Amino acid sequence: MELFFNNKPETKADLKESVNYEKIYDTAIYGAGPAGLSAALYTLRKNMKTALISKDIGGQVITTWDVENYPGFKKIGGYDLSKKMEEQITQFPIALDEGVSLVKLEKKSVFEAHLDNGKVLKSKTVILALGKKYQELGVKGEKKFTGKGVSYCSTCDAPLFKNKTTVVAGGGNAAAEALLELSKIASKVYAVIRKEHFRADPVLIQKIEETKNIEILFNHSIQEISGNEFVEKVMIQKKDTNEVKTLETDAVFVEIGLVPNTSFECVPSLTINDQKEIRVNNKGETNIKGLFAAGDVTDIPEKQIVIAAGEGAKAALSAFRYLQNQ
Amino acid sequence: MQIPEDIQKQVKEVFAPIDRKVVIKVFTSQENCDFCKDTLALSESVAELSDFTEVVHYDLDKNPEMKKQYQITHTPAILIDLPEKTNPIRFYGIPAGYEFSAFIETIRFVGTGKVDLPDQVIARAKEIKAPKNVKVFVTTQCPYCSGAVLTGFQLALVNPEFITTEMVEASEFPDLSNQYKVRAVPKVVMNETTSFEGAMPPDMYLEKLIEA
Ligand SMILES: Cc1cc2nc3c(=O)[nH]c(=O)nc-3n(C[C@H](O)[C@H](O)[C@H](O)COP(=O)(O)OP(=O)(O)OC[C@H]3O[C@@H](n4cnc5c(N)ncnc54)[C@H](O)[C@@H]3O)c2cc1C
Repeated sequence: MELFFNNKPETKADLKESVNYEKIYDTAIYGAGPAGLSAALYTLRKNMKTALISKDIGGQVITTWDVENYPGFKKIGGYDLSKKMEEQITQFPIALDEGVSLVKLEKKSVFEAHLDNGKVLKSKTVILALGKKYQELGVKGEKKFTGKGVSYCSTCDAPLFKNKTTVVAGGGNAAAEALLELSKIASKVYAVIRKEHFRADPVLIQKIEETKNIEILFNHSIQEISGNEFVEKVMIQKKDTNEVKTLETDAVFVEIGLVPNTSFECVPSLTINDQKEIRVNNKGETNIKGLFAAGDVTDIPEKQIVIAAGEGAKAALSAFRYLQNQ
Repeated sequence: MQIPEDIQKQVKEVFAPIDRKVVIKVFTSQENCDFCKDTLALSESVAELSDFTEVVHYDLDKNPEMKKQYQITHTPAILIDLPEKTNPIRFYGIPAGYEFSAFIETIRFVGTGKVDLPDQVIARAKEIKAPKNVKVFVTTQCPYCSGAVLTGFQLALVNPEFITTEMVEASEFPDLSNQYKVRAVPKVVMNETTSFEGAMPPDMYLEKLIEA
């Protein structure tokens, strides 16, 4: 076990305060991943009264071990990088409520956001930086057994399945990494992959092929997860023959990609593409005046930290300009 | 154990406001304890980073009576004394990886007498007048776990008479993990009756504890 990963002790925030729901903010930013944190940095430096609401601080970055492609750092832990971004914005007077989710967004004379803490946040502009979350399989038993053997965080939960049998669903890099990590802990790991090949980096595929306790099942999809109190079995089906098989397993790690966090109830006329991403132009503007979006939740082509941060900055400056022109 | 220099620097910054003595009690044993040595070494290295922190080591093979006195059920265990010598918080298992920050922050809380919870949460936690125990199951690779630990610890620190909180490193103690049916982390078990998985904001966490 590594004693020091890349995390560091949290340092105290300084000018951070709680959101005042009586006030109308110049801008309200939803989501505190790289896009939201970078947007906040820019709005705060423009002296805009800024409220930031997020389920967590850091977004997908906190689940990333090492980031090696963020300019200025040869290599930095994901947690570290998000802490640095947070520290940078809390040196300004920011109203920040963490652990809170956006449920519904309305546009009246100003934007009104209904939050899961029962409060309504009012702001003249809104920046949606809600990012993406793990995609679910959408099969019977998945919801029932989440936390009872079905997991979306292999780094978190893998150590709980020492000498057990596990299944990993997916064929991309995340699935490949989960397979390799689990192969060191579990006695047996099944790789259930819908396609007839991996989509992961060749180095990872080679390692998987060399690992004895990984059994690869290409062209298979999970149909059902079952058990009593915990996961005991998964039913899988072969694509070409429709042959159905049952695997006995203690866990199913779902690593099949990400979906945008656009399931909240939004202003109905907001344009969203067929992948449920918010459409933005090259200024981070949506089709609704005063409503901006940035990062992985939008239809920008690449999903990377540096891109999300850049898009967040752009959306913030567009929001600033929008207010100036009002 | 050598703590990397950049981390030492960060820890020293966190420890800078500490103005009272913090005694870190580390309990180890020889048998079935893969991380006892590392836990002691880690605690000693951390304690060197402030003039106010001190480690007291209890080898339970030599001092078996301490096991009973401090009600230590598993090793390694770390207790951080409050000034009034109560022990409402304990770590079972090594506070490494993502739990390292929980360890450091907890020392800061005790050493400054201040926690980071919102005022209303502190006030409501102080109103609790029935015994409440919180067990937070974690793995050291889980980025969401230390938040669940720190909330539990802070609640125990503001009401040490009635609230006790334990961090349990789930992979080190399969017996406890099986007993409490841990299949995902963080798993928070309250008063042996209520449990939930995942992160939760402090006010909701406290409400669950009040109901438990
Ligand atoms: C395992 C992994 C490894 C990666 N590695 C790299 C890498 O090495 N380099 C790289 O450049 N990129 C990497 N990425 C991609 C990168 O992390 C993302 O592109 C980036 O985090 C997107 O930032 P974002 O701010 O748009 O969204 P996110 O990081 O997804 O943040 C969104 C935020 O919104 C919050 N949120 C969501 N819904 C709500 C709601 N309804 N109400 C309130 N808040 C909400 C979330 O809690 C979160 O804080 C990786 C991603 C993953 C999953």
